[in-house]
Amino acid sequence: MLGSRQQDTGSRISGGNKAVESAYLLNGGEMYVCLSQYLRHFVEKLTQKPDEQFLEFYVKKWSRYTIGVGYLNNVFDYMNRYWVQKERNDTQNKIYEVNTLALVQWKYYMFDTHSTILIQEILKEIEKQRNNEVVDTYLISAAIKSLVHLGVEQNETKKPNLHVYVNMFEQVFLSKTKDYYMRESQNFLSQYTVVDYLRKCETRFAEEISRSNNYLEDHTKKLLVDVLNEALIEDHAAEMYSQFIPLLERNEIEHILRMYKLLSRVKSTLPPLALQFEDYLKSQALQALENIKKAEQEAANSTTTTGGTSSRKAPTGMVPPKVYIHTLIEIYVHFNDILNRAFNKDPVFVKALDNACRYFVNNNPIALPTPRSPCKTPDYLARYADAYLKSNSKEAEVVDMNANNLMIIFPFLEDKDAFEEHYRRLLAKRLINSNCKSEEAEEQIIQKLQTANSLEYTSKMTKMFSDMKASAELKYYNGDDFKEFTPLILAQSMWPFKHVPDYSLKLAPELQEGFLNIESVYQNRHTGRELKWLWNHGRAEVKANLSRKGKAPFIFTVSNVQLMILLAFNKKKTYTYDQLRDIIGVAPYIFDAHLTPFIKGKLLEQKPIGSENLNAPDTTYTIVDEYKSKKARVNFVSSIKTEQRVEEEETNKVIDEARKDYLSASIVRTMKARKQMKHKDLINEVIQQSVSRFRAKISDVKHAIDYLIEKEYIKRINNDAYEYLA
Amino acid sequence: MKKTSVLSFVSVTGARKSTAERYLRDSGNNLQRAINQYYMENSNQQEENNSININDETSRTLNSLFNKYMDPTDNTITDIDGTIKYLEDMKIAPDELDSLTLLYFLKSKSMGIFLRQEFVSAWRKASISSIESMAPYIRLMTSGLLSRDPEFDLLYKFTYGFLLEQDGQKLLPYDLCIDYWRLLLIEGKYKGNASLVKRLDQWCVFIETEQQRGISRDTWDMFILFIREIILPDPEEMKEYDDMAAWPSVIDEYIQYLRENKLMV
Repeated sequence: MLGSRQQDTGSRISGGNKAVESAYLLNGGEMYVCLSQYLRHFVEKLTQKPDEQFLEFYVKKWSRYTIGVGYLNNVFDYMNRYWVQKERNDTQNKIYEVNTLALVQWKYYMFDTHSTILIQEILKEIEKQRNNEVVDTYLISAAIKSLVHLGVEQNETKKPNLHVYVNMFEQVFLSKTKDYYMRESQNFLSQYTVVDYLRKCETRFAEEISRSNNYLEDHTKKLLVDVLNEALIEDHAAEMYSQFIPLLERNEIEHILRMYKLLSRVKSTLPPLALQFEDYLKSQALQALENIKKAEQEAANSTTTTGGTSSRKAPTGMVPPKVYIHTLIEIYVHFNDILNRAFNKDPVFVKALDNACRYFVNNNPIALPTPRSPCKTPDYLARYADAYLKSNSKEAEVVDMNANNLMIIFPFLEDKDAFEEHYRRLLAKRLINSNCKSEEAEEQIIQKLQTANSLEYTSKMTKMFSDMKASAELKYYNGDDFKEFTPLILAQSMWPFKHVPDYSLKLAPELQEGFLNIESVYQNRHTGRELKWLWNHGRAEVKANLSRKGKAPFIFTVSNVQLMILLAFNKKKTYTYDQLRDIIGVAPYIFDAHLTPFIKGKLLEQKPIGSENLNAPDTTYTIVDEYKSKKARVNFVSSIKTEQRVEEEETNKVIDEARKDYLSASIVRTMKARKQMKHKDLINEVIQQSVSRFRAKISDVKHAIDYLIEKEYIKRINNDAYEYLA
Repeated sequence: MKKTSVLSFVSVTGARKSTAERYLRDSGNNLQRAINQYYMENSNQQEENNSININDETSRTLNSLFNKYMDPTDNTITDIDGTIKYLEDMKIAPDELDSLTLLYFLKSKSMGIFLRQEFVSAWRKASISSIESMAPYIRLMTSGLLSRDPEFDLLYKFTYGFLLEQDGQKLLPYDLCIDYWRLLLIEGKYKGNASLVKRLDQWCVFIETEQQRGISRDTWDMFILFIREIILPDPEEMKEYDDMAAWPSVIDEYIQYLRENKLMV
């Protein structure tokens, strides 16, 4: 059949002659046909030596042939340029330049007849190479190159065309490769460990890539990689997953990195791994936190049995904030390190780490001692910051604490509003008790919180600092009498203090002038502002001339109530309970609490003695003539009994109220903008809006909706949507 | 246009069928809106009718009957004693659903009080003027209200407004609501539907012991919908319930209460 095609060509050429009637064209035609015949005979006559492999024979002959054809092409240069060129331009039929003609003839009479054995032998050589046998890579490479050259015929240009390569070789090659590696990986995994397999895969990928660089066309590279990914990775992802947790447990970062790199070749295999990572992290975190909780409980039990002296650090039932926060940080740092070293900070794993941290920071046995209680982590974190910022913390305790640690945990808090409230309460205490270690450190943290959340988030704290500054300036105008008086003027809505009517203290006459002075200075500056004294806050130092003769006077640290009690004893040595309380003025339970330390501390003598007589109207109190204490400074404030629980409850209530307000405001704002909204859309929108402050529960949002319907800000329409009522 | 809506319209307003059809068409077949519209447009006319017909026989009989029950200080309304007397004369006990139907029929604005005008015009429209015929009429009306959802809903929703005592009052005391839920639903519409009544009983217990908060109109109105869409089709499992849906939170908490107390799977 091929012969007859050639015949065809010849006859058409002679047909063309008549029309053109040109001698050299006729010669050209004859020459072309003869050359073509010659090449055919040449190729057909080539024979394989008996001991010769076909591939070897093919490559050897091909090399010689192509060199010869090069010369031949030069010799027929004239024909190429004139006759061939013209024929091709005029008739568009299958006339080739000599070079191409030679390739065409080779393809017909050599390649096409022997292609099966040739391809088989190439693939056999490649398989041998994969099996680490020594092969002549030149043979493989040259044979494959020849396939590319043979593609030239199809589009009749000199540009190589890959159709022969792709159809005859590439497809078979890829499917053989797939078979090979499916078989190999199956066998390998049945004999060796996953870690060995990971190494094997790495080597295989390197080999295959270098092979494809050496003698495959670019076209194949991507396809080859796909085949390898499927056979080596995707098909065995499950085996790899199964070994992931053991590797994490042994902290074998090198192998995890290897596994990650392999799996990341097929993106869809990563999420299951990330999910395992996330779950493992959560379980490790819960384990660690469970452990410190247990350790702390055991420690607490043993101290209570031995007398319990160190209970001041944290209220009962609380793990020390530093232990808790540092445990959280350790877990984060450990896994963040794995993220960096083993997962190249891959976004899929960054997200997993983020999810897991957010989970265990907010949900763990210490943060949620009971399922329904508000999360305690914000409280712990605020206390942690307080310990670090307080001037009276021991240096050794705080040396490893810092603002960056705080900022590691902060972004993971769901209830950022609760942290703000707790932090601000402790900050307020530091400020009014002048307990700040460094203003710079305070400002640094506020700056960081602002950057991490918003300007609004820290606005109350910032205002508290400016109140402190303004108060310091006010003191300046206060004359000489009150040199050592440090009044603080604090904006009511910014500070977490409440005016407690039970604390309405009667000011001792000797102090009155100073207070009036302050009030008038302040009122002059800011007319119309109301000043309320918070007698339950603030400290006084009293120099007490109750020492033995010749000794320096004692210095007592007392509360405001206690100050008034002591000042009263300047006038008289003995009072009855009722007399004294009349002078002081506060509610009885407060009076009793502040009086008790003086009796316990043996500064006042109670008659008759006994706590049951403490607040009997006629019980008398007499101040001692000579006070006995080893220390020159005595603190009567620290032993005043205050209710820690009350404060905690109050804080939670304040946070709750603020949330309700926030949700209501958010609903009204949204409804005002949208006028009408579906229930689900409204819920989603509001939860989205509140995410930077706290995690709003659906039930909370619904309560707010109920409340707003009741108050007629919105109304229900069509049972599952709402409308804004102006 | 639904035939039941037309019938409801007619039974409430006493208007002609064609009138009912016209108002329903104008309101997009919203029964409540149609009725409101009807009363808004026709209240003046009605008053005129009343004054014109004040002297006809029926009106005179009804007016003199009313005089037996009127408030001694204000002859346009009844007082509570008068209403109780009126119920006694009809042999309807005050804690029967029929007493509520009567007050609904007479468009009572608050507990135990109705207007002379409404009394006369309502009974005139029913062409009834003797006390003996009134009770059977009301009993018949009660059974009619109980059997048809849209009409029952009007009575149910009327009840909330009727129980409110002051302008601007936003909540009803929960124990009062429980009494009326029992009357309207447990003893009334859903009497005999044991599995549903069990849920309604649980609802009342929940409101009484756990919730203990006033009931808003929204909660009141949505509860009847909740019964119809969630409880009624599947009283055991309430499969249709979705905590993401727009139910007022009391209802979510009720479901939670049932689950926590293992009263529901």
